[in-house]
Amino acid sequence: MFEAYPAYILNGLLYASLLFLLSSGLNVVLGVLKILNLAHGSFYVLGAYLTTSFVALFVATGLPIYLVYTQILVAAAVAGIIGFLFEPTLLRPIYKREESYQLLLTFGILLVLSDVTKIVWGLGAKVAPEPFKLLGSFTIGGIPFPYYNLLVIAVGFVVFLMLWFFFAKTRTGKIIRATATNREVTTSLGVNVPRIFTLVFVFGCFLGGLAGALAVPMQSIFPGLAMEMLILSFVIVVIGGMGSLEGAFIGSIIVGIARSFGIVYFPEIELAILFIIMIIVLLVRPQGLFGRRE
Amino acid sequence: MGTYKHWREVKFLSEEKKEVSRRKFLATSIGTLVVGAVAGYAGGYATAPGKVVEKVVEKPVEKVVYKPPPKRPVPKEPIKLAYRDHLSGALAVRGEWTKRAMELLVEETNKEGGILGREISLTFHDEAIPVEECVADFRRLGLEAKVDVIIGTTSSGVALAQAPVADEIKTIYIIPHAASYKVVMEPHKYVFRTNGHTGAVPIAMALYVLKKMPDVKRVAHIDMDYAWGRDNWNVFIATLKKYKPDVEVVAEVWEKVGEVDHSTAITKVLAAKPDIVFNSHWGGQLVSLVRQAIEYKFFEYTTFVCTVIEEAFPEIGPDFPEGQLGAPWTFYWEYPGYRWNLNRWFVKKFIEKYGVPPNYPCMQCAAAFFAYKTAVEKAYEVLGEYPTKEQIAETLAGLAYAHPGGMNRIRREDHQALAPPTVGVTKIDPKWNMAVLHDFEVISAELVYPPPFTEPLEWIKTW
Repeated sequence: MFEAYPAYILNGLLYASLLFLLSSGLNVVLGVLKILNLAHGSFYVLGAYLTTSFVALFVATGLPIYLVYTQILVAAAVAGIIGFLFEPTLLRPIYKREESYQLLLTFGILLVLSDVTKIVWGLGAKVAPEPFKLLGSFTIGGIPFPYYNLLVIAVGFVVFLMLWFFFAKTRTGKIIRATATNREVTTSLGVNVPRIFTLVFVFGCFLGGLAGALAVPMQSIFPGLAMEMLILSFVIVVIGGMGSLEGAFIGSIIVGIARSFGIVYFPEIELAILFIIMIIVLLVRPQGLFGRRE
Repeated sequence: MGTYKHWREVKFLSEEKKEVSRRKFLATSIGTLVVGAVAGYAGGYATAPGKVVEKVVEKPVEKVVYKPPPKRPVPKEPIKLAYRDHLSGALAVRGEWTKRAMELLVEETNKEGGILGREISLTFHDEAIPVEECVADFRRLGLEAKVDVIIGTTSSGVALAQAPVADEIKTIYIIPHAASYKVVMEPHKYVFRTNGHTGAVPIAMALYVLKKMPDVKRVAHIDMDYAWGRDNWNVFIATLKKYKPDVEVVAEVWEKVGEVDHSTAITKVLAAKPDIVFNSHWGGQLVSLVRQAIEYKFFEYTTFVCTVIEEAFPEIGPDFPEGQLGAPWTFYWEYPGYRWNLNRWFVKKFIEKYGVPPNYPCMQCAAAFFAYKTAVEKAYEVLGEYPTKEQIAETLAGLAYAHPGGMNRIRREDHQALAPPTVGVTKIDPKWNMAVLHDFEVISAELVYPPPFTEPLEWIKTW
């Protein structure tokens, strides 16, 4: 039984990596713009669908096949650009309004984008297996494990480190944090706050798209997942603490590992595991693992 | 007739006589053993037990010739057929397929003169709305739109809610897709189900596994954590254990509906080293499971057994592993060797029009459609006039009919069609560049369908 443990841990980290990537975009937007972007799940879905199309197109061109991985980044970038269409036009006018307007608007975007994906990509499941197939798999503890999954785990860690470095060490990162803390003061200091907001929103959409783009080669994408992904990312944000990157990272790992061993020892727990952890965190630390009390 | 409530008002003369004679026969033979030639005749001439006296009565026999009643004209206005399925939402891909099937069936039937010369007008109704709205719309279809027949419903929950309404609005309701055995646990006058259910198909699957892999011992499963997955697994493993009590369940995974990450499920199952892994996933979740399983080399270590395996064929394409066991739930488009005329008719036309073979929900649509068509035609033949809804319902109960997926007999008691499930092994067909089922078998309905109103697990215990 124990020989399978390394594989279970890797599976847990894989799930954690996807959860972190998925939730980090929502988290950044929530932390800086103070907007709960309900359309976030749609950007995951867009990233995934775009990857299926780009990978298929890329394979058809006959270019060196190992460059197929660039398509994942291209798809995530296009998801970010689609996000760019929404921020200055739809979101900017409602920052000063009540929160319910933001929820209605972003939920509306989710519904519209869900229909757009149905019109563009149809109703069936879509796959993009090439990046997954290309790397093959190795055996750990007698159990096969695909190399691609290792890549996804690595990307999750790298993105976390980069985000942490960006917000803690770079000038732009610090400006963004300052904007998040106090909009008026940063404006008075000459910071172009609307531009920062656009940048952060696009970046958030890019991260959501990246999660979808990385996930789709090993899974598949089909209608109805936008809502599923929104709920997942929201739970992680609650566990980690609103707007806390470290919280989301640690929270994702806890959920990933707990889910992995939960499935192994209590097969019926999968439905509830995420919410059980969320309830425990809410009872013990209502502000989330790394959240600050308001 | 047993506990079955005999509600039929139109009784054919011959049947009434048979009924009377059977009772008389039973009455006279109480306490005695009547053997042989007297069976079937009114009044046995039994004397002492074990001794049978046969008396031949010479009498000029009046020859009875069946004369069909004179045919009255058929009404001119079109037959209104309402079809309900998921046309939006997460399951809309089903509706997309079945819509094609229904359109094709109606179009081609209309070309050939409709049903008894009556054209069919087809309307589509969405199922991806709350259950109570489905029910309200269902009632409206019967009372306001006055449709002749309602075909459809994928969700068993919706089917269960609509069934009593069908009796209330006295409109024939044929369920082609919803697969919970619970849908036919209550008697209904106007409700019929023409595909296999969760109390039967997993039995067929288990029998096929026992035949193909008689040494099967270690069994694992990955199923969705709701009634569908639970019924599938419970009935499958009960059947398997009945014939091979030493079968061992080595790993269980219950996934939530809509789960796309199956990595832990696959690892857990592989770590348990099972001979087979049972599964009943459908839709995108099945696609993502198979996709991930391929990269985990799952199929090199174990054999996959899936009751709706056909659903993943188009998306996985030529990567689908060969040699896996599975069923297209009940009907397969390639009915063994195209021996069936209706099968050729439907499948060829479907491929001509849409470029792909019909999947199992399309075959299920055809099974429901031909149930209605055959019932109307049969009833007209017997009655000599166009049948009322009630008369069509009476004909449907007990009807045996051919359809593109094979041969169905609808049971009188619970109106469940005894639809023999198809099971087979996957193989890549270069013609379609995807997996198909080959080496398939059609399992006799008598072997797999529990008696009316019987819980499948209770029935298996009695074997």
